[in-house]
Amino acid sequence: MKRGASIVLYITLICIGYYGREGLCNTEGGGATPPERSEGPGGATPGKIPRLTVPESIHSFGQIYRGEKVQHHFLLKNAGEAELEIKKVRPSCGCTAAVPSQNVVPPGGEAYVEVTFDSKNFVGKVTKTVMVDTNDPSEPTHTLTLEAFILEEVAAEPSRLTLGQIRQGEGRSLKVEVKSPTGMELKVSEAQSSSRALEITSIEKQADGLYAIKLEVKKDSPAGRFDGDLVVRTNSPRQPIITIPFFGEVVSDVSVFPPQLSFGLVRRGTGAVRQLLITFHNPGVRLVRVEVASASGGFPTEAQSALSGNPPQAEKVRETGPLPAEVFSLRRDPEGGSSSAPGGENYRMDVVLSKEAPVGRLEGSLEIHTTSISQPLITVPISATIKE
Amino acid sequence: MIPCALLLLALLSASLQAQEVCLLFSGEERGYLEPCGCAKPLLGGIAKRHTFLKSLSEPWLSVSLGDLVGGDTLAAGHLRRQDELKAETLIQALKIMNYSIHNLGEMDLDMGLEVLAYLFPPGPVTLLSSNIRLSGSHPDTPYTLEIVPYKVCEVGAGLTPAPVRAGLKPTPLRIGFLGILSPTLLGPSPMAGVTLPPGVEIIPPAEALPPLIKELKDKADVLVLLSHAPLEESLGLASDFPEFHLVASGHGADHPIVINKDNTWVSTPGIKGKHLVLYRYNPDKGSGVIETVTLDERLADSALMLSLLDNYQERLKEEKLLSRVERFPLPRQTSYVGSRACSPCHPAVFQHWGSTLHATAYETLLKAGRASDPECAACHVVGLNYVSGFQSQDISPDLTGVGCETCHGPGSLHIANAHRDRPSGPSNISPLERGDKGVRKDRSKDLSLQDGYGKVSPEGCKGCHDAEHGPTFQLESYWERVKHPAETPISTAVVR
Repeated sequence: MKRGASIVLYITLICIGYYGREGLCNTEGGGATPPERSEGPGGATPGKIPRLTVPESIHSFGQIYRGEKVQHHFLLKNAGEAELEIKKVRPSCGCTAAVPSQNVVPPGGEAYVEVTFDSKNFVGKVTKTVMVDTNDPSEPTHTLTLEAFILEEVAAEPSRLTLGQIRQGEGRSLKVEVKSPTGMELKVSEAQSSSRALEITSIEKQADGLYAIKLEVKKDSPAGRFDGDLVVRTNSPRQPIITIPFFGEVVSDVSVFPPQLSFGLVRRGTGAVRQLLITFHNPGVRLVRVEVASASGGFPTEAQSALSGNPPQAEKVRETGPLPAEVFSLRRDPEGGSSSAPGGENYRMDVVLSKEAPVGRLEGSLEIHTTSISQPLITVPISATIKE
Repeated sequence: MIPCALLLLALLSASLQAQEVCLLFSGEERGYLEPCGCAKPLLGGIAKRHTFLKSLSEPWLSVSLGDLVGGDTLAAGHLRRQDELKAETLIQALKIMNYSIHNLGEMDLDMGLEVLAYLFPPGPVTLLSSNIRLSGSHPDTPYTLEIVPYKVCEVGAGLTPAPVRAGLKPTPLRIGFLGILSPTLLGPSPMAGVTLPPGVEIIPPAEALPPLIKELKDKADVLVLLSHAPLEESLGLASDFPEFHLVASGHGADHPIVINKDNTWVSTPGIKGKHLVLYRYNPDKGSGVIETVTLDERLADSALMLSLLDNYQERLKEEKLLSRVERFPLPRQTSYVGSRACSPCHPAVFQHWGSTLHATAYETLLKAGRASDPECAACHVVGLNYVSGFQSQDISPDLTGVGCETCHGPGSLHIANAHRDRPSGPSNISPLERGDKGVRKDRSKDLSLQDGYGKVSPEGCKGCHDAEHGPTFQLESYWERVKHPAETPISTAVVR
């Protein structure tokens, strides 16, 4: 038996519910709840049982083009003596829709499951399944399998742009090639980038019918993360639009993660901790201090540096505002602390939301002061929502 | 006398038996924190998983097979920052559920090394990969990130009869985990999808595994390979490395699959944490039993996880993610006008629409506490990802719900066409527009014919009513619920 067929067989076996030697069983709901019982439809005659037979449980669409929606009808037969109830059809993913022609099949009767597969998000070999739950006691769940090999009429290479970190002042040029593996006469009419950080500098048709889209992250791009999509419009009827997601970060001397420190919903009196990662990309740059700053509608506080003292313990934020207690404070993470890396020092810090924080939405910011000329001050918004 | 002897024998026998240990595997998380409330049945989610884990009586160890995020990045409402918040919430959940290991997946790498360093500080959940190495001196990897090549976990009492009889102290069972990330998933080709970040090196599994297996030979009683690879590649590794008791495969399989390949179990729990694979290992027998579990509606939601989900939703709100979704320009410089703008010319249709669930789809989301979630909002408002589309309830109140323009497209040109044909201008449009001879004239029909606006395709419904969010959707019956009433034909209704 070929390996592919063997796999399908095993998929089927597990869905049947029990597999041999060492005891493989599919325990729906696990040990916490009783297993589902298969019961016949209301009018099932005692002693008579339904029996599902499926002449072809596997269907191959063969080669199809990405973007095509293909359909197949799986024939189901009731070879039993009681009514077969089709309780549920469960496709394995959002790309597959499955609808039974009827919910009850009389003894000796037939029905079908219409399965539609949308190939827009796939390339290459794809296997999808649809589980059919029935009241056949010998096989409560039967698996229908769809196979396809999805070709692209238009392909972009790379299909995702993970740009990583780009040093500010260095910029980066890159290229996306758009081509038709099927040999169609491709035309790229337009390309758009959804972010100013990544600009399209040219779209060139090359001798072999391939289009080269040249892109650039400019040298003077501001420091920070950027992401978006490169949208390419083509003359392909199947793939008129190709979308290439991109993500990158322009780094200067320092980067901070997360870009915003949200605590979310916190019950009053419980407090919470979030971490902040400060990474130095320039060994000549140092951290001066980090402090909690006031915010509009928030609480004016004057913070002491979280890094001025050596012991890794919580440092106090001196209150000058109306709040009854400290709300946000900083401490070095006792485990993470600071460490040296090729670029410079890194800091992992805890930002602590006080148990005394009052009910309501609290907003403020963290101010990170460094010796960097280009990034002397980095501000990170901070927020929490306290609920009774 | 005989029953007492049998009981004694049974008790003695039980005390000599090794305790089974349970290894539990969840597959690609793909940012699936909870099932969409529209789905039926509700499958998976961290709240059901936690309930199930708490129900286990034997010693257990849980392992994540990779890809904290990695849903459909091209889906409406998708935001990279939301993926990061999901990943952070999942890591919190994994810690609460006592996970020991997360095997690195390609979508984890795609988040970037800085995010990985943030998510995996030194702590209980170890980031594992036997064939991914970080260059220690590369300027692009200044982060303190540890990816371990293997991990040995001790679990249970692991008793064997011999040491018990000899009065020796029982020792726990040592499980040695190795993990690989398939090189086929990294690279520029469309098949791979994710580019290897600078400063990261990938080694072919066939080269990376042998020295580690050798190293673990005396350190572990049971060897498990976590394989973030397509199933066929995992099967190949099971054949090539018979030292493994189990290969837990975690990429690309939608449903649980279990295969015995050359006397090695190869299993996958499927995607999105909807199912789990349990490997119950009996130290006495030196073998295990595999079970798959579907996390369905019969499992109650864990209160602790529900509070974590509430926290996550509030973070989406605090970070105002809804206002940060990508917004694309609409074609032909059209724009959304809101459902109310349709009512003057289409009063009967507007009234009928108001009685459907489409009209109150945003209220449904508000009630569920998910109105600040861009991924949810995309199907409960009009035009979230477009310029002039929904921004907030305050800014664009007429674009809440599944409005007219969700199905029919942006309506500005259609209205402009109507005005062009009407010298009286927009301010004079009324629900009962008088014709020349006192005849009520409904212009909807002729306008639709003129500019071709308004045609809908059933395919459009499937954008939201897909298998993940509306598996019970059937076009014919659902269509009846939203089908518009016939509009009054021109020249037939005389206004009294």
